[in-house]
Amino acid sequence: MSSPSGPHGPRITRRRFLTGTAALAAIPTLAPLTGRVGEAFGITPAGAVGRNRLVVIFLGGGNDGFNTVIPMADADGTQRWSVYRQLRPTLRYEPDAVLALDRPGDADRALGLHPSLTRLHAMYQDGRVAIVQGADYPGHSFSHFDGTDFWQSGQPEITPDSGWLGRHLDRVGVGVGELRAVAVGNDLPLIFRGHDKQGVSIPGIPLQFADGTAALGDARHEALERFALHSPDEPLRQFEGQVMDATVDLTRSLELVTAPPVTSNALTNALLTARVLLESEFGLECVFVSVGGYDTHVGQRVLHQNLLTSLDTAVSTFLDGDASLNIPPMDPSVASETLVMTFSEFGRRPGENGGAGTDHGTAGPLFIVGPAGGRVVPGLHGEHPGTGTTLAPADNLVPTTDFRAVYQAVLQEWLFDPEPTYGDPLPGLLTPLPAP
Amino acid sequence: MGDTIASRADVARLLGRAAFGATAAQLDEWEGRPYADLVESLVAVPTAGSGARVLQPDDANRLVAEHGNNLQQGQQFWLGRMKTTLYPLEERTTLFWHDHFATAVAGQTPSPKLLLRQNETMRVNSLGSFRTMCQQLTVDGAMLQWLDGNVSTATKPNENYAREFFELFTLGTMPQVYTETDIRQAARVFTGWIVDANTLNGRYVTGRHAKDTKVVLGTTIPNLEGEEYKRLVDVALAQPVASKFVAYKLVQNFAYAPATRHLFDDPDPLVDEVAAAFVATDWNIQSAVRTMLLSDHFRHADAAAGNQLVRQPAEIVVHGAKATGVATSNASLLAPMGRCGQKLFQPPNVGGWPYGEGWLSTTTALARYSVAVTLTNVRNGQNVNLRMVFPPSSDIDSGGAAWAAHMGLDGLTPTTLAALQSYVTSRRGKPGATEAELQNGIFILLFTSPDWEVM
Repeated sequence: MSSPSGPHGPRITRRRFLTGTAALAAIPTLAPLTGRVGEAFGITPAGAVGRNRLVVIFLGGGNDGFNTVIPMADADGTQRWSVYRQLRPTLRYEPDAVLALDRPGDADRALGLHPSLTRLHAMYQDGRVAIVQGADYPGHSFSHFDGTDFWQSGQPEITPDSGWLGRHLDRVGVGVGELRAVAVGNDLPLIFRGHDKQGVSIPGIPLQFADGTAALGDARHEALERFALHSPDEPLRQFEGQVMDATVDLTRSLELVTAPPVTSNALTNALLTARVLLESEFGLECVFVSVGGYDTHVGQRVLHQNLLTSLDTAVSTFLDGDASLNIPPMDPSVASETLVMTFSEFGRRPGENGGAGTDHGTAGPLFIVGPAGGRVVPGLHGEHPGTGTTLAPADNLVPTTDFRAVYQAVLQEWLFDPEPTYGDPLPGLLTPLPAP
Repeated sequence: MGDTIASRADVARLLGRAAFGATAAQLDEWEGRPYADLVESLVAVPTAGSGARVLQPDDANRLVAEHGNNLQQGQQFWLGRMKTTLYPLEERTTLFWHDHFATAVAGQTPSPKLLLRQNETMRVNSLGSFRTMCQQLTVDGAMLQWLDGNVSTATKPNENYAREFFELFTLGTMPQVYTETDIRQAARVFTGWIVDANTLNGRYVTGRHAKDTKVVLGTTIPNLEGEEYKRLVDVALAQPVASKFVAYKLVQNFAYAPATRHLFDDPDPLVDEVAAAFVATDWNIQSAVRTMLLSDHFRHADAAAGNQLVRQPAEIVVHGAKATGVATSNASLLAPMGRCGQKLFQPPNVGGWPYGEGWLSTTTALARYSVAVTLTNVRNGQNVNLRMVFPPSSDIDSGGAAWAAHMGLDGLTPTTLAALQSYVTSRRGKPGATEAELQNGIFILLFTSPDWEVM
């Protein structure tokens, strides 16, 4: 009921303006720019350099991992199914209801997906989905806000001051005419805040000022651009002016972009908005969308069913379209470059509380979805988080995978970041590129 | 500093941050008078904290919204009240408490009716005792539904309220002084409360209460039945970090986002002053706020170090309504204000709204612009006698002093003035560019300018 619907307001980032320039991600600055932005500026279009794309979906509130990847029998020498049965008297799913994960190598794991994840399950069986189990970090926080900040910063050992993809933008730079990182939503999340660069946020498409783009509005919008010249002696005011300037550039760039179809699912709509931009060759590399409601302290069963159904529909429609809604699949050339990744700030307690819900817990699974026949190594990665035994069930699930190893793999092997900083990547998540 | 006299800039910034913005008349009225008198004019709300308040015309609108259980009417009531109240600091602090104890309408649990009741509880206590505020909100109907206190029982305690009570309402995490065990024990202390089906108020049911002895934050709490939660409020507020944490939140909402990440090891001077006032007065909010507004660290905060306030949407909407003569109860303002990121009675989550540069994104920039356009449209559609008269566009050519005063600013920064001059110069004389259109444009640009949004 009180779950975060998006990232908490940034707590930290003001310091950046005290120490460095607050350059916004460079946005196309001449209007109108559509489609071949790069060419318009004499720059190689993004598609031609084989840029990979990463779409991050934040499940805000703390997704119940124990009811997302579900034990169907005791396996791997554990009692995890017995413990699950014991601790989930009203919230459990029986093995015959669970969508069994039975790719080669999975059989003896005896794990399945929540019954609502039918399309993700089909993608899994098709070899498009990697599931990273038990993801967490040392010194786990049970706070929504600290947890969200840590996952977005990728730096749980310090007070977060930037995002793991924001620092990626710092390292790789942002070219003229590029729209490299976009959050669909109200605010710019921490994940896209770097020390020098940052992404932008858009509420949707079409994107325009309330007074239109005729001469009347244009004269005003040109004046807005001048707010960016505000003195650095007042860094917050300067930043406000830079944001106004960037907004003008953004509306001009997106002026002629066709609006995506609108469905009854808000998460689908946010992803379809991003898809329009991914398919428009703005050089878009990173997308962030968020959805709230996962903080299921009370009445979890129906809530969680609906949430996972929404996620299942959204990811599937985003990648594969929905014939019943006349939405085509993603442009194949873009789809072949696109990786979708989910995360949540924490999992939930194995034991139910008194409200047919669960309280804040630990480790949870990540879904990583790529194109069929692509470089995502399908299947289960890492071990199911520890559950203890029926005689001594774990108070909280025991994490098995440091999520930063996933970030490292994505940065190093998918986004080709020159110097990511998380140590060893999670092995075997992505197939290596063939030698040149 | 010792400068006891309020400058025009003092008036503009104090009213801009603590009273939903200054009018030109207020700038003239207070410039040159004692700064402390100006602070006292805000802080001296009659009967603050006593529970009995001066009735205001808007109270009828609140009751209409409450009885109608209507969210939009409730939002219109409160925005209207922020503009028309005789005691703007009372509404400004109430808005702060709504953010601090963030509770949102979620269908009917909680309902708009319960949020409006909670809003009144916050208003009555807005400058009163923080201890009383904590006690009353712990067993508030909307809060019990929002953080699941109403389903938390002795056999199956629900931790939701206990965790947020420590993390967000009283102690924070800079540093975190409570453990997971404290949260679980506190959840047991808070058991026993439900929302009465008839009155919709919190009601204690002894059979649902955990009657064992708990130890929270090192203090043993015996079974005190329906009074036990008050003991836990006392235990929390006795923690040395509590006053600093609540002071930090006040400073963040009224002055600037302190850079400190540790309230003891890396203190902020204004936070420490405000915290000391809480301690000295047994949690009197009026004293703490007065201390904050009088402090040189508030009045002369270091803008170059980023110590300025990014005003939240409600503040600029209400201030903009003052400068146009638009009633903030006008329904057309609600949608663009929501796109700015702030819907009253619907904070995004229990952590409340963003702050500082969190308000400044390309998404919200478009929305702020929409608010400005809406304000001019509503103004221009009103009877001419209701419109605030805009200064002429020629004032911009000659330095913009009249426009600055009209917007409650002591002057325009050189870059903002230059931007406005470029607008007026480029647009004037073009087909259809009437004087009224130029004035609308100047208002819209000032409304979205750094000078106005950040103070």
